[in-house]
Amino acid sequence: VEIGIDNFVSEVIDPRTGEAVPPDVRMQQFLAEVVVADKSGVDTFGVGEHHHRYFLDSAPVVILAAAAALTERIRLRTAVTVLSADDPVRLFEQFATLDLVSRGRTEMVLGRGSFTEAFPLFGLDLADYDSLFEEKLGLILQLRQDAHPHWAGRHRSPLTGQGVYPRPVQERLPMWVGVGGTPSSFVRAGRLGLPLMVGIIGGDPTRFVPLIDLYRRAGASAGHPPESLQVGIHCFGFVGDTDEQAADDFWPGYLRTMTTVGRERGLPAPGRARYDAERGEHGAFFIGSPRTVARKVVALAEAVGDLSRFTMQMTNSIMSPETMHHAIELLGGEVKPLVHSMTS
Amino acid sequence: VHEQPLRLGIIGAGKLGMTLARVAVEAALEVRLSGSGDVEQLAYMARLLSPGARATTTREVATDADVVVLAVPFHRFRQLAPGLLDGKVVVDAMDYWAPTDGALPDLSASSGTPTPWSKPGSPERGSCAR
Repeated sequence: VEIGIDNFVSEVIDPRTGEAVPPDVRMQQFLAEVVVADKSGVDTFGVGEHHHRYFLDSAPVVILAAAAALTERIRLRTAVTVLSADDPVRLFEQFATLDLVSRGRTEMVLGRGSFTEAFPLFGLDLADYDSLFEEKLGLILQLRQDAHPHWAGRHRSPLTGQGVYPRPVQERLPMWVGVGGTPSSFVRAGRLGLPLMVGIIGGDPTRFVPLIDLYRRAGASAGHPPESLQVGIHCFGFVGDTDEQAADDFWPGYLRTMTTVGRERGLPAPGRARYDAERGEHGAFFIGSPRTVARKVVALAEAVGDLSRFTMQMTNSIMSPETMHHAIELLGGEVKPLVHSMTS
Repeated sequence: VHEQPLRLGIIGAGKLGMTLARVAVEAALEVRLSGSGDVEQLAYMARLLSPGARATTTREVATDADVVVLAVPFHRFRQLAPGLLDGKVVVDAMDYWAPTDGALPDLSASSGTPTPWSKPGSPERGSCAR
């Protein structure tokens, strides 16, 4: 199991001053998180994409390029790229360029996006939600193997063999599909034989096992070998020296986010009891000491059967950089070796 | 006394519709399910995720059910055929949230607005619960 982080560059309140960190400072703090993760042995680092006033990550490839220049071995990816709202040709060019900057450490995670701010912003119709994703996914997969594609579709002008350059360092730029709980998304990823990243925001993650089985069966019946049908899972997570410390470090910012952005998005206001339940054995939050988090990852890997990757969303809206760095160091330095020793 | 099991129709095979189908089959209801895609593919998904629920067309779900649950994304609601659910008992599980449904010009009120089903004077005839 590879261990990763998928964070957001969102507004953060400095707990010492009670003030929001200025955007340029916050961006530097985010880049420092990636550097700490790289040094601590974390395998992957992803950045979200949002087009929203509380977020600074509407141009994730730019951020990842800066991170690439500051790091050596960590793999860099998106979490997720809202493919439906972008031009696949332009996206491929950007990620291929990032692959050159990072010397082959780039991955794409492509999704429909759970939020839809990007649709009106780029003049797209929500009624085309599915057809946009389907068509653009087909095109970007074609661009991966063919530098001079011939292509025609509904949502962009045809391609008639013009070159799409540069070509990435990696022969096949990794392209994962990011999904929520929509059954047909699991089938689509399986049929295409693409690795799957499942985002789980609450409840018992093992409830997703039937959907993962659906993905594997759809993939197998389309003739894809098991090794191309990798599964990753993404959840909220945070690591502290003890369970209590991790829980208390993460709670204030979690509460704040859920009562602001979460409320806008129709999510229920959280209570501490529910939060603590999600931290428990059957919940979706991987928040605790290194041992607690590692045990939970291993249990999830066993339930899923073959888990390629586990990533956590650690961004928190009220937190000092020191607390975040310590958590990242514990994830790479302690959780990862513990998971490996428990699964080998 | 052997009563006929309640025939539950579910329109929408996403997170909610598929989960509800599974729970309803477990509760011994006769379940029919429809989605926006191909019926074959839906049947394939239902065999794994809600075994016992029958995948079919939206028209048949509406015709053959005692109770119909509407579980499509709110912004898709108007793609259903007008009059489809006339005279039916409908459970409306849709909610309008601008962040996921986009800004709909005729629903300027804030998120959480009930759908047209539960509004007085709705052109559709039938009973509706939310």
